[in-house]
Amino acid sequence: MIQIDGFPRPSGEWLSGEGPYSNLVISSRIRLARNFTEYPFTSVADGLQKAAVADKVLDCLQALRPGLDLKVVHLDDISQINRLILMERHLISREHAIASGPRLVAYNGQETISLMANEEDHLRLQVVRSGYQLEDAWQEMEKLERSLDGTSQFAFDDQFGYLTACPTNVGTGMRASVMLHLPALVITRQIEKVFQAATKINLAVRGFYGEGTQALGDFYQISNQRTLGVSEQGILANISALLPNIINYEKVLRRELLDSRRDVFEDKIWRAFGALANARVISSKETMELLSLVRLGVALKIIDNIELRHVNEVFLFTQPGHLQAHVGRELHSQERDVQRAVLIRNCLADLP
Amino acid sequence: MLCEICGHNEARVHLTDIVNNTKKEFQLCRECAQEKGVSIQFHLKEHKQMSLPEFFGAAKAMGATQSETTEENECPRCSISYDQFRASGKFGCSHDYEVFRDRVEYLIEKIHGDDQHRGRAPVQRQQEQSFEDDIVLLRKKLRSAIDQEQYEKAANIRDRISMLEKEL
Repeated sequence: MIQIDGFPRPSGEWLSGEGPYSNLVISSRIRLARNFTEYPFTSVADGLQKAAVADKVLDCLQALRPGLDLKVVHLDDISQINRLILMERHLISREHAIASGPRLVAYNGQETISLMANEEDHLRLQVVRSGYQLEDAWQEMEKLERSLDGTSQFAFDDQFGYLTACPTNVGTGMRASVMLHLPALVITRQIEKVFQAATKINLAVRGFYGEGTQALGDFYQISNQRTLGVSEQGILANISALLPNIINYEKVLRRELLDSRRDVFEDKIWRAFGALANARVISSKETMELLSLVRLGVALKIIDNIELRHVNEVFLFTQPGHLQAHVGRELHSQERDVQRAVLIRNCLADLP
Repeated sequence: MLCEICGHNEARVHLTDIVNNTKKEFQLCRECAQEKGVSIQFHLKEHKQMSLPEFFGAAKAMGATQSETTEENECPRCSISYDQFRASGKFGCSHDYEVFRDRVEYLIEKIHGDDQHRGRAPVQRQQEQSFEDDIVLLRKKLRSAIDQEQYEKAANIRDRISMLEKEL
């Protein structure tokens, strides 16, 4: 069994492969940005000010409902590999992982809630749910935010709303996103249409780890672009208006792929599985591409001896941070490709 | 149609100027448009493929003419200048929004297509807002009470207003 130090298995709730439309919606996520009035933003704050903000965030945690049982991690106290792990689990952002100075994350055991201190903004709250559960995620977030509201004074302006370090987040400070697996749209070269439809209603399409990252393994993140002039419910409604169309389109195309040349299609998927189960050297890019096909095969019940949860976990465990933590040391790129192959073989061999 | 400024050349430039949320439109000839600081070619070139800092830069160039003289150039709290903000795309502190309000308003309108927040507000602010609304209402009642020479009622209303004002 794969065991990563300090991280329980099974991993975060959002990898469970459950929830509505989990065949093609990996997760739903809501993020809120908040800042305290009395301190400068993180990019210009000095060490003392950052430490004070971190303390303030720790105070905030006291206001949260008991039983949340958050684990607090000071990012400067842990290794780079462990920071990578937190990032790969979407508990912190890339920016938060590579920054310096006093900064922390607090998250719950299920990894559905995380609070980041001294990211670009003083406080970033995040709620994640597996599958398409944006509304649920928002309800949890609303509770979370309200319980902090009473104890902390967040920077707010009647005209501009919640004030953030970057004007692209100002207003609601909210980013709502869904992570989608859209292999059929990619195979049939229709994915461009999703981009166009999304852009038309001010939604952004991004890669697996958010802003500035590449789309890997046919995973796409759709999120709101506008944060001001539209209410939180309006943002959710905007995404909910587009999402069923994308989901249905992908479903129809999957069915068509199956119906047109079932033998060729099944062959492609089983070969991907075969390559993963037998490779001796494999890059992360190839892993993502093959896993995408295997995930599609599992979703369509072509491959029936594994579950979505297993595919999701292999996906996570083969990321650089998790891989290095599993092996127990830093690895060069070439070593990684070898160790990745070993890990995948072990994961797949473990299965019933 | 003739130019609205010089009045004798043919108007060829339609200029829309948005200052403090009010839209003004002008029909100008090329020469007068140039003088007003509008170059069509400049706009077309600059609007293609702008990076975020460049985008902010352009926003200032366009918004600056009307307001440069009256505005602060540096935030007294975090001492970041508007130029520094433009270069990095990030503010220094929440007070910057107040210090550079006019220019920020222009920029935010460009980014979000709107310049008025419509989402939730801190509970305390919601209360303050409802107090403010109440005070406006009570002042009207006070005036009509005085007009009708109902002085006892007016005194009561006055007390309630001063109570609410203390809350704020």
